[in-house]
Amino acid sequence: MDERPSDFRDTLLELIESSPAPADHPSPDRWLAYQRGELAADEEAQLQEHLARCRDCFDLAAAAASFAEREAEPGAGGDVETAALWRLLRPQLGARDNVRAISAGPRRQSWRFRLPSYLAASFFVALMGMTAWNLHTRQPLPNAPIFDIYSGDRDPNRREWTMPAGPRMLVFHAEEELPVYRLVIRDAAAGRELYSYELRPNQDRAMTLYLPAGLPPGRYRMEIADGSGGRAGRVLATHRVRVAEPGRGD
Amino acid sequence: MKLGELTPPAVDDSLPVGPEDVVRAVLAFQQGVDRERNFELLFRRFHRRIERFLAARVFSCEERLDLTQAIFLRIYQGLKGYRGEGSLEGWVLQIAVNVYRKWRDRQPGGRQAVPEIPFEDPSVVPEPQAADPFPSPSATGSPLDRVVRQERLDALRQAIGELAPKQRLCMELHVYQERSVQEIATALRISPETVKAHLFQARQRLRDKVHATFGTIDFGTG
Repeated sequence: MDERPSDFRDTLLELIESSPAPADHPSPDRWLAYQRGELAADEEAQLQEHLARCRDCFDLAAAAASFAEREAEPGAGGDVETAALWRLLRPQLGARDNVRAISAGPRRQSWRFRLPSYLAASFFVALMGMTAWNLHTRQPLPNAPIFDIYSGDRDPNRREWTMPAGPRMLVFHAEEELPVYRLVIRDAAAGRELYSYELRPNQDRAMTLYLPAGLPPGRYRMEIADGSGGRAGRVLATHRVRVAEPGRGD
Repeated sequence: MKLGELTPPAVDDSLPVGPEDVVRAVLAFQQGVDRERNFELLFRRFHRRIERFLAARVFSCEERLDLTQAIFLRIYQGLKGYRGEGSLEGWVLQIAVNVYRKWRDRQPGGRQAVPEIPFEDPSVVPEPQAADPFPSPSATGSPLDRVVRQERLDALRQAIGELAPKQRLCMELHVYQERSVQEIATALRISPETVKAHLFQARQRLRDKVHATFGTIDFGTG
């Protein structure tokens, strides 16, 4: 029956681990003294026993050996190397947190560096929100009533459109061939401008507009004007509109 | 020595920096007197030791340079708070080991990935296997097998306990901590050849003792 290496190792581990764990860890100075041979034999033996059970102290003891080594007389090359390293190190002495940058992982940047990123992210989120809201408001609403309004109707007394309260879609059919129009909604009584929209005709010269859902019941005047120059110009058509109370449309 | 009497020592690159110079420089540094100049003295005193320490552990020159700088920057940051409870050299040693350990633990594989650079030919003395890929047949055998195995382990335990202290110590460091012959030699302040001899004799003694009781035994250690 053959013994296996794992049996040997397991037995050894069991022996070591069943012995009491080291309580006091020798100081770096003790390891330096140990490596320089300045300790008594029994103290040296104690430290060596400690080494077998303490990985951290083993590292320290091994490092102490490098420190305890007798200094060789530095040559010219060594001086140059020292001076070069000092030149590298010197500019970093004043900087804060530079140790972490080398010895640790990637560090968190200060808020000054993060601010532009945060602003860009906020702007992006706001832009996406506004786009979503805009798409939502422009999206054709199911079952919204559609009103076709033809340009050229300049008689303000000819007809009054009655619309139910709530969302509705107006389709303007332009006779002129202007690139841009402007629709102005006014209070019929006072003539005060309430809303103003820029409209651009499609290839069929039709312009679609969703009237604001919050337009309260009442009488209004819609003016379709030339929208060149970003403002209402010559009025092309005027329509009277009555927004009825809910459930009381004509 | 009164701190007020201290004057910052002049740095002369050609002269060796003694321990007293460094102590004066540290006190002056803590007082805020020409910190850069005083720190340079400390740097000149310890940088060769730190390079020696890293040379056996860090293979890449660039990483050694980075680590050397990291250690001195850490010393610079902590020097104001150094209270002189231990020697300055011990304090610097502890910082160097801490920075090195942090770096080592970040390497893929952690401690095992950064063995000390071996100086001896590892083929001369076969090393014990760290782990057996195959389970011991006796470990999963009949009750009789288990009893036999237990007796054998007891005998092995007794044999290990009877080894000479240095032999046992070398065996423990080699098998338990998985240290190389060179690392053990450095830590125990003996030559690598002596470590090899201790390991060889330990194996022989264990083999002889357990063989007398149980017959042929393979420790996998040469």
